[in-house]
Amino acid sequence: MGIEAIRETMDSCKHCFMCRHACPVFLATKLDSHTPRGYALMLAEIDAGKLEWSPSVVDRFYQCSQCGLCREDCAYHWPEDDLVRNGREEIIAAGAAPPRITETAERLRNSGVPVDNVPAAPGVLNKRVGKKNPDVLYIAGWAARYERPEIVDALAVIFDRLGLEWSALENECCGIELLELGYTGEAREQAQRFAKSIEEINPRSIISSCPHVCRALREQYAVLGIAFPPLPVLHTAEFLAEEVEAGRISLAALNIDAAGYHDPCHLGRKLGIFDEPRKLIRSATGSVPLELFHNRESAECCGAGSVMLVTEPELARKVARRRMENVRQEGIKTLITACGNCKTLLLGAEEAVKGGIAVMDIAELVAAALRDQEKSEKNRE
Amino acid sequence: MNRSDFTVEILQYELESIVGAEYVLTDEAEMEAQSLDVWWVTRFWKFNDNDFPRPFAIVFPESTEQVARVVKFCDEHRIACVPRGGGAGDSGGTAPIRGGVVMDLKRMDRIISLNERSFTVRVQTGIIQKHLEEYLNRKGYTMNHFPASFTTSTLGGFISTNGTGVLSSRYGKMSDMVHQLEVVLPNGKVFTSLPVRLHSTGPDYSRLFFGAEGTLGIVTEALCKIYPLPQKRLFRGFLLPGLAQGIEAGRRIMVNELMPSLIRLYDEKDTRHILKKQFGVEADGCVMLVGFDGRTRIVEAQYEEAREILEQAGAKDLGEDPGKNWWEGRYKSYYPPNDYIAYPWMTAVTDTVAPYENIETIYVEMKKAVEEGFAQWGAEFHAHFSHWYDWGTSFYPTFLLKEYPADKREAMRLYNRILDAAARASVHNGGVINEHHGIGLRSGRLMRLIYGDRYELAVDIKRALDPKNIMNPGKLGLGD
Repeated sequence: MGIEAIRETMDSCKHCFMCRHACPVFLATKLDSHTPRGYALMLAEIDAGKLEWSPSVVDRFYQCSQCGLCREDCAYHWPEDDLVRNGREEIIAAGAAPPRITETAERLRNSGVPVDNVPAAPGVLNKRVGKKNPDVLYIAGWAARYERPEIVDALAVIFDRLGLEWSALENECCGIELLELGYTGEAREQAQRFAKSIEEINPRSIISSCPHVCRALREQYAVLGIAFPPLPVLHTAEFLAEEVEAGRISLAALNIDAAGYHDPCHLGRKLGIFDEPRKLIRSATGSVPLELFHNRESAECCGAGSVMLVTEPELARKVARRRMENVRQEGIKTLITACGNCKTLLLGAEEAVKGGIAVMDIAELVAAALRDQEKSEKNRE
Repeated sequence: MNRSDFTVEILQYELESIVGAEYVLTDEAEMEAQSLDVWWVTRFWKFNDNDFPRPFAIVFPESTEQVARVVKFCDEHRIACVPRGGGAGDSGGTAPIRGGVVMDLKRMDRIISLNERSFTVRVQTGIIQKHLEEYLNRKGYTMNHFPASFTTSTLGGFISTNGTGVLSSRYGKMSDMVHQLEVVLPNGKVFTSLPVRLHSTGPDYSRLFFGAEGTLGIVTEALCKIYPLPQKRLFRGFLLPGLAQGIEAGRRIMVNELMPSLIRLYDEKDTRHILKKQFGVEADGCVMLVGFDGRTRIVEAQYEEAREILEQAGAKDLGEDPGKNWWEGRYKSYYPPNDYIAYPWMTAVTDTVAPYENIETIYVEMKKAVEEGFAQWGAEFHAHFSHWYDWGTSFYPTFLLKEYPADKREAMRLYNRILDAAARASVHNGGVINEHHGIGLRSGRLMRLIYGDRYELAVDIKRALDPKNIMNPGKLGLGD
């Protein structure tokens, strides 16, 4: 817990500058206090009793998207992002978290969603809530469920064509956002509740549009000591790639010019899922997707991670604007991604500058190609 | 509010009116994060519960015009102004010892233009070198500047320390890599040097600012030389019988019209360490890595000539791996945990450059001065020769003490005594201390040793350009 668990990392990173160039938040702000070295120096001073959790120090610790690019960039892969997460544990323990954090945590605990005034979930999903023993339990994640219902609609069309029995949950909070905010104990409790609700549904498999949920169920629950049934857990990109490869879905090549792909951090760098979305884009457009200069393991975060989209909206938008500048530099006209939060933030950044680059989720792309294929088959008949 | 708070408030407002409130920081978080470079002394001081000097504000300008207005403001109010790029120097060069304003230039990272006819790129100097290199690589070019802090330091920082990368034997120092500079002078006026460097229209005044560490102004824009990405990069390792044979082989490569991008000759101690670590081999002698890059046929022809010279010197060919592994992992030894510069071990580099006739003597005398002079502390000394010219070479020695006095002041005195002894060994034997890691506070006092009375010229220039001594005061031995 806290500093004690990351002492070795802190004592190493406080001497080292080497990953500065990589941090997407630093690139947007140019502040050293947004780099792992900055975090390590601040933590070391707090540990020595020479610095307090003053508002500016606390603010910086909540201005990290936990994207892990620093850890990836490091020659020795020091867990630099843990400097921030464990620092947040100290902040919570010290009662120094600012209202925007405590209120976000409160909402996560109560409703499973970090924002207030959530719109109704898509009807197609609500109809499925609580159905027992399905082929598939679909966990949209709050971003797709409330902010980007078009992703849910796209998946529903695909499930329908495949004739799958699917179900949904009432509360989709997996607890990882609480964990990232430093509420470790409460995250564990939330994770236990979430695991239990899945067990009660008793699905044969789980498909999620949310990379955070996938990583929680595949990796993090084991670390947190959460008992979880040995179910297949697939991200939609993996599921769809399997279905296309097996020939259960046929896709038309859509007339999309200059499609490119943005790797969501949790799906790509953390779960290692890089090829499936790219294969799907190739199937759905007939072309290999254009790559951003920093891609795959080295992909820059869009700024949404660790609920920054909600808790630090202005900074998150700044980070996203930079990523969209990278997108523009590659001549990409349609950006595909595979995370609802990424889509929300990147689309918002693009709309703000009226740049004209379309942003869509991989499920939307596949559903569109599927519909086109069906149309052309119908026409042939 | 007391009087000083009021003053700070007013000054802060003035700065905010120039760069915007968002870009004037006075908070604990950024002050703490910017508090250290990598100099052993600054780290030792801070990590031993001492307070460190802080500025009253850190400003982040985005344009030359904003830099000029802030400098003018500092000049008018006699406020110290410390320019800062990556802040990753090894000498306390960016420490705000008189408080004042730190001018962080990292927002000034715009690439202004690429000229594919004359092979130049015009760029703001706050750009991190790796970002500039990535931009160039995407266009098929490179700047060929690969120093240790490539991923973290800025172009302006390299210009201001006249930095040197690992391929300097062919591509030179920063002063060889830049055609034109734009500098904000201490009075806030902007000086732009002539568009070409090789002219006879009076002195090339831009030379004043390479290695000046911000004491004469702030470099805001540079026109840099670029190269096409090489068709081929060739690296190869050799084991020479001893240091003398290695130096002579390197000299012969350089004076025989060859243009290696890399010659890296490790002394016996470094060689034992490297061979054991990389290959699990224990052998006597000195490893030399050589590299050539550019057009394939030229690379191969040059390598053949170099190979002959090395064979004549009794070198054993170690194959491609040592050079290739070194190139691919060349930054790895700068990450913790590394085994040569790991804090709290006391370490310093005392890079030195000299003509061929003096270099080996300097190495021997410096090694003796450190190892014998400080034997009671178990001082270790190791070195590699990594920047080669057709008139001489430079070596990069490191001293290392794993134990030192518990008393803080005694420890720092010991550090300075070792540094002084190493510098004297260089200067008294015809060498020049070559501090491309920064002179700053670390070696300021040595400037009189290195230059003698000639340093008065530097002091006069400083007084003429910066009569109020606002620009990075206390650095380079130019007075406080």
